[in-house]
Amino acid sequence: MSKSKMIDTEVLTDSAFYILMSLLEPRHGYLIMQHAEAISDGEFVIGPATLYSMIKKLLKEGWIELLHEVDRKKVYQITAIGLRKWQLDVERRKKMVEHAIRAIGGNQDEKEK
Amino acid sequence: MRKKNKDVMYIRNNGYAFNAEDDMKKLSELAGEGWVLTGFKRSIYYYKLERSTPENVVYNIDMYKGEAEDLDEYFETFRAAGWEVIEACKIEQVKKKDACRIYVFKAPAETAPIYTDAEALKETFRIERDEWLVAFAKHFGFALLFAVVFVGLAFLLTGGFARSVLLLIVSLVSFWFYCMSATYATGLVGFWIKAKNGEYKVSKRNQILLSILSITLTAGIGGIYGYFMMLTVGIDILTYLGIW
Repeated sequence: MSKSKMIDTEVLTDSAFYILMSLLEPRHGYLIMQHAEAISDGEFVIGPATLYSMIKKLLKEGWIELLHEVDRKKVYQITAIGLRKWQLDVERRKKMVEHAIRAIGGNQDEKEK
Repeated sequence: MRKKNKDVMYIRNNGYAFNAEDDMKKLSELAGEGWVLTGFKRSIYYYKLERSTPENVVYNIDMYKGEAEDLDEYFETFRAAGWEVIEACKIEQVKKKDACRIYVFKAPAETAPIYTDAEALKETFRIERDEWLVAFAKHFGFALLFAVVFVGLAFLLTGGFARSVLLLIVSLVSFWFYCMSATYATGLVGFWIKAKNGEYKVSKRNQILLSILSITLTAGIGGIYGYFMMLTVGIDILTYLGIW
């Protein structure tokens, strides 16, 4: 059953990663979606249904919180726990990229020989 | 596929639990031929299509799981992503009617789907699965209650013709609840599979298994149930008439 869990202890799904990143500052619903697209140069798209579902899930996990409502729009922000989770995941992803770069670099060295 | 007249066509909804993706593909093809989805008929049993200029669009379906007062914000999120809401029922209907919790969205063909993450889709199906579980438990519980407790009470407290009538009513109510619970059980298994796989589609193999489950529960066990019910009531009536 652990496989069916959305987020296990450390690894965030890409959507959760970008939503948490967008909520480093308070934002409401579809601004999260647009912000994620903007900071990824349009490369990461969060579908509206995914956004809706993930906000519910992240609230349940206590990683984001409802700040207030403006014009009947709910404004959310990352919590301290959410921030820690996100930072850990940034580290994890950074390492993965470093490993990849090393692997690519290594192959090139071998070719040169 | 049913045609009412030249400009309106109704096609059957194959069920959100099993074939929603196929339905959406079909709707997209029909839009390309100039039949555009404009609404629903008889709750959500039929899609209502109207003659129009051909459109190159995609359709996606979603179940709304939030509060009625947040529905506007939900729609706004979809509109911001380029999706047009097809069925827009009144907010006060959302809690009362299941049909109004299901929405079909339309967008230009190249738009990214409304679910861009399998985990989010799983989460939606998990909520749906749990709701079907509650519905199943409730109806099955009532079926048992009527079958055991009320039939018992009817035997203990009444006699003669009154008892026969009461038994018949109680049995029919119990049977009705049983049939409902069988339907919910099939849906429950369907959503359980989808929550596990995070896909709209249920494989052909699982669809066949679900059909077998459904037939077994309704016609099989339900048939035996109905037979014994009629036997009990029949014997009671015959006893009353002095024939038995």
